[in-house]
Amino acid sequence: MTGVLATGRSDAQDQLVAADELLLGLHLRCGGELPGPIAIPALREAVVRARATGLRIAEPITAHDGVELVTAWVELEPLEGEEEGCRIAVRQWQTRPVAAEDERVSARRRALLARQTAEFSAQLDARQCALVAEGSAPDLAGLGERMTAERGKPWTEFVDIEGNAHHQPLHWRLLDGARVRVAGSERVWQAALIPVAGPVDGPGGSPAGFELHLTSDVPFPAPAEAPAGSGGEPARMIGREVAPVLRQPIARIVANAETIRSRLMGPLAEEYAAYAADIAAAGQHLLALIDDLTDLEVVESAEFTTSPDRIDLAEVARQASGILGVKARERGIGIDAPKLGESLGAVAEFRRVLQVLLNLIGNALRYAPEGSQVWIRLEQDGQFARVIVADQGPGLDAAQQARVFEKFERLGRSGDGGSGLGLYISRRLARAMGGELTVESAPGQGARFILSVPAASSAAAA
Amino acid sequence: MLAQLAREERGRDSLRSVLPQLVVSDDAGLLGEEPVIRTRALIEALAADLLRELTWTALVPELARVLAARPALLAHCHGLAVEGATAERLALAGIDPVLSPLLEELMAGEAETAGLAMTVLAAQTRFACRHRRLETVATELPAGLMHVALVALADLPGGPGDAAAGPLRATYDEGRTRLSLLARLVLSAGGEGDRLLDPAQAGLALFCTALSGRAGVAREEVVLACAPGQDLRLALLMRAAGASAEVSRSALALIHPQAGILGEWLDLPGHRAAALLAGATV
Repeated sequence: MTGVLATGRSDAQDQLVAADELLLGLHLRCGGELPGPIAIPALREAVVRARATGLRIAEPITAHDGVELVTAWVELEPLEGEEEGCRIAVRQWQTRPVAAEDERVSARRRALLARQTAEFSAQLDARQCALVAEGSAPDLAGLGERMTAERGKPWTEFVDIEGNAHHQPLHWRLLDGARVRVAGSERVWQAALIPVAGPVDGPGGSPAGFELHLTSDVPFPAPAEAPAGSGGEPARMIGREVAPVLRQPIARIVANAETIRSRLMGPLAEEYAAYAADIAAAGQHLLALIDDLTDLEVVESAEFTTSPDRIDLAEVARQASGILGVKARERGIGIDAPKLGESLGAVAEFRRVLQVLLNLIGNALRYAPEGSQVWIRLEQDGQFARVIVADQGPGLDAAQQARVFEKFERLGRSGDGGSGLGLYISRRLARAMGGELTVESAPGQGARFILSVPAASSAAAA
Repeated sequence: MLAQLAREERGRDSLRSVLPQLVVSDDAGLLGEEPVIRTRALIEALAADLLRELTWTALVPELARVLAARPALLAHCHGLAVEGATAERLALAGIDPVLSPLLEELMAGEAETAGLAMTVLAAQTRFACRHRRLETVATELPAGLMHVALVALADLPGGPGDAAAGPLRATYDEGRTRLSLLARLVLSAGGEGDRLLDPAQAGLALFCTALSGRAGVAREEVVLACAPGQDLRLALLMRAAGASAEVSRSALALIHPQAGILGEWLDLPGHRAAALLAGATV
């Protein structure tokens, strides 16, 4: 036969028992062994078909070998008699880099990865000015403080962007992926800018805000020795020691599972793509759990304090609803946030209030039925300013209300990605700010979670 | 646009559901349309071909009835009839049904591709002849449909049974079918990019194969989209295949010269086109 690039043979159990280098290489890169079950999904499927029908088949197959997309022309001849199986001939072999994905899909995945691997994150407004900033990296603690202290300045003023001398924020697409130096850190950082809460190319032309994430390929150097004599605080290990170590491999698992999931869309059976999606979802759950455990350690430590500031609860509520807008749209739930122009002064820490509201609204989105409404209302009651998050979910009876703020309390739920720590942490945060987090609800009537923090006027009077 | 797509889809659906009746029915009044007559003829030719080597010709009408009851086989024969008719229609516009400019170039090119292109030319010539004579042969069926046909043959009451299917199975080689050769040539000529999606350059047969591969739909889908009244579907397939608006426009102008203005739909992002097609096919 002319033009045959490689041959191979499979047996009656559709195991590859012999193969030339070209074919064998792909089989091995797809995770196969020799002899062993055919690991190239499209080839395996065609071989099974050829054996089942007893017909010679000639068709193109497509496979991903982890780096490239291989398209090959294969001819399969089912064998009869003693040596049952299939003779395989490969006639064409083309490779090309994996095709560019649908931009929205890849943007979603990039956003996911950036969030999970970031050691520093900030919310920016439409002009790329910092609203809130938070980081887990010790060498970026200063950056977080500077950004929070000088809220409203473009983030580019706080860092040095390689290859860009001036500090004017450029178009976000130009800054996305930029290499960044930060005072106080030896490491080189990569910036990811993710547009949020608005159609990127919508009528307005530009996004309503951004998430800024800084990631680094270099881990923060570990301290020379563990702090001694820290007995009596078993949770202490998680945040500082274990979390960074766990985060990276889990994020990598998520990344790889996501990659597999997207690649399998074409040539591989749907159920395998679903398995990869399950792996990714489980990984995300673990990451969220690590975040919660880290927060738990922080709020339970004796020296935990918040840095209260004069803030506008309406603004925090709008921010929170903007951040969760995409998730809400996915679930078909409307968020009714305070309108622009509404305002309610309070004395609390902006990012902690935001964290609590994200938790409350996130819960509402998770448990309320599709097509329902979540209301965020503000009210002042004497010395306290309140944010109320009300949903149309199943509601809580008196016994559940008593338990819902307890540590690891899941109210019998499982498998939905919750850790049972969110409300416990939120209440600790509320109390640390001199406030309170309570719930009013009845079964079938939805739930109203009420965050109270000191009102601005009362603090001024105090 | 959705309304038009739905209308086209309804037309297609009703076609699929009435086709079996039209083909097996003796109601001459409903058999006026050329593709339907041709489909019926092709099914009968297929039955005759399967029984040719044997002395079972009396069973041809019965086997034809059984084959026509297999929707995939019927759709395939209908596709062949439509493809042949479209090729004849395009011939009037100067598109050679057998030898296209691109095929000619490939025959003059690198040795292996040239040999393959020659084989495609021969297969394409046979297809055109058979279309004129209302004929087809079983060995031209794709492997999946060959299997369906052979099972039908083996199960034919009072027929030759497995004895007839066995030898046909052993000698069949999908690699020699016109459709398989076209697919291999498209893979081999992958570098030609947009030229494969230009029916004036590639010819109808290569165009349909290339478009089906790039848009990720069955080739018959593309063939049907080339039939009159399916212009929007063809436009969406072009977009889903990633063809530029310019290439899509010239393909549409050639295949659907009577089509209305589809300008805005030719600028639709490819993934949106694919989603619309997927939604419309469900």
